[in-house]
Amino acid sequence: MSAQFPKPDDLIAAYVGDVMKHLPMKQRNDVGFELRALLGEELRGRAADAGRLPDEAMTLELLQGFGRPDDVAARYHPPGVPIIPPQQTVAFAWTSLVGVALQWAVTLPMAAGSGAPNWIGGWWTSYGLGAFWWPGFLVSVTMVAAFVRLRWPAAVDAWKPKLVDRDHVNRPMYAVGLGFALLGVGVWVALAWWATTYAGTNHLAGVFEFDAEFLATRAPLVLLYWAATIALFVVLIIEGRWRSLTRRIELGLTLALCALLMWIVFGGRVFVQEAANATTEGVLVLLVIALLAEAGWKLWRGRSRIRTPVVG
Amino acid sequence: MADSPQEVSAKLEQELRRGVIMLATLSQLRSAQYGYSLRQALAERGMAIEEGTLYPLLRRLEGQGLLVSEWRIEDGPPRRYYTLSAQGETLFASLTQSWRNLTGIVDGLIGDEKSRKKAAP
Repeated sequence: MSAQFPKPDDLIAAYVGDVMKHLPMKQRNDVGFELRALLGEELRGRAADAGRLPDEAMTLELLQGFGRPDDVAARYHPPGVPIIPPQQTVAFAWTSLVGVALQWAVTLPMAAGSGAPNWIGGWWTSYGLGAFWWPGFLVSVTMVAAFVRLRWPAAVDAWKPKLVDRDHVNRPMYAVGLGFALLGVGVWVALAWWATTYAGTNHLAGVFEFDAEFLATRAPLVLLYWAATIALFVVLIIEGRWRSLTRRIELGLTLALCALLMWIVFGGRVFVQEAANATTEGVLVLLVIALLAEAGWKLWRGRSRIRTPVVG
Repeated sequence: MADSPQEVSAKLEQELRRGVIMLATLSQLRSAQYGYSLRQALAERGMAIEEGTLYPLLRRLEGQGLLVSEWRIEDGPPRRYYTLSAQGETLFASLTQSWRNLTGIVDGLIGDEKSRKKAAP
């Protein structure tokens, strides 16, 4: 079989065909015809300048200099509305990656601990791939935002001042929050008493029966945390504002709660029954992740926005 | 890795040229031209524009209503000839005025800088 060298016209036709694939249907034929003719003329012009007939190498040089077919097709399009604006690209990438990584960090140990023979395969086809719902969700949200920017540009283009007093305490709302906190403590204590008292006679109470060691060692610290939080609420309602000290106390309480919850999870059983125990431990791990994320967010938001540069 | 001074210079010059490509193109389309002849005309006047930039630009300008085009057969195969539309002529006049104002201002700024350097000890 002899080697077949493509003719310059065939190379141009193949290139134009690749460009046309990326063009809108109604433009394809017209642009394709024009582009093929123009590239042919360009090639003949170059060949005349070089004083020889056009060949494969000269044609390839022309076409490669013209650009990748998809890039060339993009140049034929008017500038569109980007779904993810350039200034949001890095934040979008990080939000997507961290979201997927968090889901994997939570589900992978659960799958590994299940003891199933092919746990990694099972994890990948369920939670592993399933975690990609998050980037898809973010893309959907950004598509809606892009549509709003396109449809109502005036509504989003004009800058509006956001002078929010972050230290202001909404006393009625905090009072309601305090009420719910007290109610939660009451329900929890009542549930513990009811479950412990009736575990032997009532099936439902048996489900919620607390482990005796938990009630003796770790549970009192939960009450202590609640007491501290309620005291902080009371101070905030009285003062009507956050101060640097109360912010630091809140951060300290959050970190203390995370440490306490991790001790509760890894320091022994919470409930006597396995199902209730496993579910609670999973929920508490998720809660710790959420609390740490919230603490990190608050620290980041509370930093000095404009720092004085180092002079000299 | 940071670009070399030559690369930075080439990029900045490219950005400068990008801003005037449209005006240069419109200037040559007061009479009908097809893509290749337009590129040659611009190159002869010192404004070489890559074919991969110029040909799609013609279509985009036509899409914006600044150019009109038609297929013609003159001394060769069918070619698409472009010329300014009424809207394109108005825009060309307006952009020409803006360009002259801008070059006057920038020339003044560059002149000031030169005279300041000369005055410096």
